[in-house]
Amino acid sequence: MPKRKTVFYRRLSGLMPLLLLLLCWIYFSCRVHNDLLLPGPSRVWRAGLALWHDGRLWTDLFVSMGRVGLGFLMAVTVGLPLGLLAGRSPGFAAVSRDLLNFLRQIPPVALIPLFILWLGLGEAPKVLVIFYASFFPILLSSESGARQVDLHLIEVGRLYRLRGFAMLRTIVLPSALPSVITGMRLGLGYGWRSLVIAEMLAASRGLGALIVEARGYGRTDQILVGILMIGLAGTLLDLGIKALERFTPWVERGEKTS
Amino acid sequence: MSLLCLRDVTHGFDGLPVLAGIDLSLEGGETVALLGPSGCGKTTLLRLAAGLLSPDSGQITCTPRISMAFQESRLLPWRDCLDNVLLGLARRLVPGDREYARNLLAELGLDGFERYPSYALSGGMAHRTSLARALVSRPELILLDEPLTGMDFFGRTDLQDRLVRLWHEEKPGVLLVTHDPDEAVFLADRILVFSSRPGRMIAQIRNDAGRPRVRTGKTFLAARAAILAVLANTAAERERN
Repeated sequence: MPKRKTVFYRRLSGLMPLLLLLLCWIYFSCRVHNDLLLPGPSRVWRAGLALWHDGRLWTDLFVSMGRVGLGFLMAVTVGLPLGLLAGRSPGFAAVSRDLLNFLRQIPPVALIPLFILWLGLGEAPKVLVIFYASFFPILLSSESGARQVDLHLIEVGRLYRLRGFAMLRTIVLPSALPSVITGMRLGLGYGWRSLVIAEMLAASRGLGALIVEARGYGRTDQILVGILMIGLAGTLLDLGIKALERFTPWVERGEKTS
Repeated sequence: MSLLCLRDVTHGFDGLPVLAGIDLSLEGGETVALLGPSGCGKTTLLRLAAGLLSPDSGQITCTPRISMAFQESRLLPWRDCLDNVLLGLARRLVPGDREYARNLLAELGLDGFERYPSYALSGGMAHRTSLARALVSRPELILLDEPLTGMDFFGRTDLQDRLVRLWHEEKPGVLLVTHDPDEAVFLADRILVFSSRPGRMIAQIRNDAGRPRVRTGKTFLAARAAILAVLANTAAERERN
């Protein structure tokens, strides 16, 4: 375990490149000196504050987060059990493999026109896009986690007459949990990025829509506000999921399970 | 009625014979040790008895109230010490279960470690926990697969003493795999010596040393000498062949 102080400095060192990026931004915006091409940080900050005060930024953030939360939860609800099942049941894995591999190749964005055609312009197509984007990483990580369960522990389960769901809950799910969390991190990231694209194509609210609208008015500063918010919110979402790793303390210690 | 009865049991893996023609029966309250070199199929025999494997041929009958401690502790790292022990009950908990499990842990020298995360336990403590898991259901038959291997001398003898004390109360049947003659003599009433692969039973030694056994007692040393003689004999025979 590194010392507290070392950890602190490591964290701090992660901010250095960000700072460098900020300096580059300032430098180039001064050189270009054209608010349409590249507004400087202070201008973007003011645009952000203005959007915040009239409630627009807050609403867009809220709407985007809500969509991603709903789609992501649906993906976990469906992908996690299916993944565990596929990892433990060779029959199910064989039946589903080809279909899932086929579907997995299709980028969610390519489906947006169809979703809009079928489901209209409401919330449904956007949530479905998130679902679609987060589903596969969650499914695949759950599957590989369930497949890699220590056979020794499965044997312990068999000895104590755990079957079906009891075995899944007692042995398989906790064993697969670290892998499932990784899948959730990936899934949420994919979902978040697809959402923004979906909002840019078909929405009047949300951070993606904010960018599209700003482009229409030639407000590059607002575009940058949108971009920064997308990055920031995505980072926060990822930190939230990463915090779940607290529940798998046995992994970090690197201790063997048997 | 025997707790465990194997009749002419044969088993192999991928055509490689591991056990050949094993006959064995074990009565209630009896402790039997399987002694033999590594790879002679002792662990396979335990797994057959526990129903984790099916034999290629032969018959196995066994009490359903059976439990097993594996060679590795095989604890669930996401559960604490006590919850790992409670897994051994293999049923919904009833009042008194926790109390009994706590007592068991205390008897095995893990007092105060009930809520300790199992992944952080030392090897010896993990072994004790897995023994408690095997004992918590008060089984009629306990299968122990080298449960004390890898422990230092002090830990091993201490745990042997504690096990004998526990079994004195509950009087379960015990089938124990070991390659430590001292352990076999200290714990077992009957010692079955196995040959190397394919494992056959080559000698059966009754251990008449009374209880409590003293590791330096005359009968204890005599039984130990008898086993060592058998082992030396088989080694000599193998040389000749």
